[in-house]
Amino acid sequence: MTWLRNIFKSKADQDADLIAAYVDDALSARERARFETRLTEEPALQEEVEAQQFVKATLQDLPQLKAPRNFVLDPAVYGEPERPSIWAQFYPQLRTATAVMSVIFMLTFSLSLLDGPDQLGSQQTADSLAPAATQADMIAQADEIDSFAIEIEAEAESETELARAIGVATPTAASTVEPEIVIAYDEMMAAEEAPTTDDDLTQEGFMASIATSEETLAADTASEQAEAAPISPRATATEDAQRVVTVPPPTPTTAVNTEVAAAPEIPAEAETEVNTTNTTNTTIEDSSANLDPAPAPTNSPIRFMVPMIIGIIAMLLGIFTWLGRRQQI
Amino acid sequence: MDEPYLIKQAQTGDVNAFNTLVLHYQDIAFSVAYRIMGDPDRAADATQDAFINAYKKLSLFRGGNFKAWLLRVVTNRCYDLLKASKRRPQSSLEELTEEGDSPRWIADEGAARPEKAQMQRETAEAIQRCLNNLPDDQRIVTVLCDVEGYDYATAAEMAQTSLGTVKSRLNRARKKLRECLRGIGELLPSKYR
Repeated sequence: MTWLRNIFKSKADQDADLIAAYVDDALSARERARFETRLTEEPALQEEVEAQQFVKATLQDLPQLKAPRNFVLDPAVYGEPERPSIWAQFYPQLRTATAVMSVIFMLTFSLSLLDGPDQLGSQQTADSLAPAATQADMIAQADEIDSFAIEIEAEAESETELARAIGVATPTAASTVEPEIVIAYDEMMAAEEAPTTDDDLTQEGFMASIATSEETLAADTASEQAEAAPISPRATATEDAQRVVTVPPPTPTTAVNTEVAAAPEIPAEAETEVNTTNTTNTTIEDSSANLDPAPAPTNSPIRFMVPMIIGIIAMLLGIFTWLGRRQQI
Repeated sequence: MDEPYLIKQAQTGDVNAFNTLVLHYQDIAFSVAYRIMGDPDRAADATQDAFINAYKKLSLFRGGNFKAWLLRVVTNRCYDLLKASKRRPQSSLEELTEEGDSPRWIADEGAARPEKAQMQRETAEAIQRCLNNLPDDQRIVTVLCDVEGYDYATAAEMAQTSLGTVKSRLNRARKKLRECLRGIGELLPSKYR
């Protein structure tokens, strides 16, 4: 360990240590031989050695003193020695344990911190990459949903024609499909919502654009509906479009069932069509579930648990050591 | 003197056994206290307190060098008193009326001739004044290593500090003492001048 200490010492300090060790005869044989070689070559060093030897010899020659009186204790006053507490008895062990636990605590805490920035960094990276990825996902999902919407629209058209043929009111494409789309988007947005960042504005803009496209779709469907069926138990297309942005819709099954229940005397064919629509909606749900992004990595406090526990133990040991230290001599 | 037996007896509450140890070590204990405190009265107080404290805490002695352990108690007590006196500086009536302390009653003059004894006493007083000028931590290490002749490791244990700290304190103290002792060169024996 001497070489380690000497790394941080100047040459003068190292020489001073060597001189003191030489005077006090604390050098090894090899160090002593090397130092004596230097002494013959460096007069200043020799002078310093002589000065220290002079001081030491002077102090050693101080006369031995005698106690001015006896310091014996009175047996009547002093009984048995104190019984040391358990902390005082095990003070050396406690001190060692505290030191060891402190080192372990620092190591584990440093490791958790090293893990932390990485996680945080990856989190930040994920956050920074999120807008691009999210937009790409959203665009892909929107495309897919659009294609589903077109399919459903076609089905709705055939359904409308069928209803027109049988003379009953049927749920519109918008009113049937729209809640499913909304649910799909709601789930998607909820999944994206976990790491709340500044891309919320982007998402809002995207939502607005989706809403606009939905509004267009709903308006188209509504105009077709206006042409096709005069009776509609549901709200208007504009209201539907508004609900896309603001109000969470009821569950699709309930909605469809309500529609079906409200529709009087639905023939078997129409019911089948409705069920087909419902199945399509389920497909949308499933596909949207599959398209949901993985949950963002959470900054779990569990990784701090181990250093925290070790820290608490180290702190307790420190307290016990301090209690034991107080009773030491 | 069967030191381990006396220690064991004292640990069970035998004050007389402990007093046997006190009588054996009181000179060295007082000597260390005096070199550190620089005042015989305060040194005597420190020594007495140290023996009382040593008896109370004797159960904490886990074997080994009893003398080193005892001197550690003395050193600690001296250090505490020095710190306390710095917090509450005070002068005794003797200090105000007399010109310095003269520990002549404690020097082992023996059969020395009066002139020689006088010279030794003056030299010792001059060296003690030099010691008193040192900072407390440097003085303690100097007393333990240079006056009492303990090695670095024992001195470090007694002063409750590290080996490296002992070396550096000793080195600084010797430099200061050398300057101080040069000023009293005429008092020193010819071989030291």
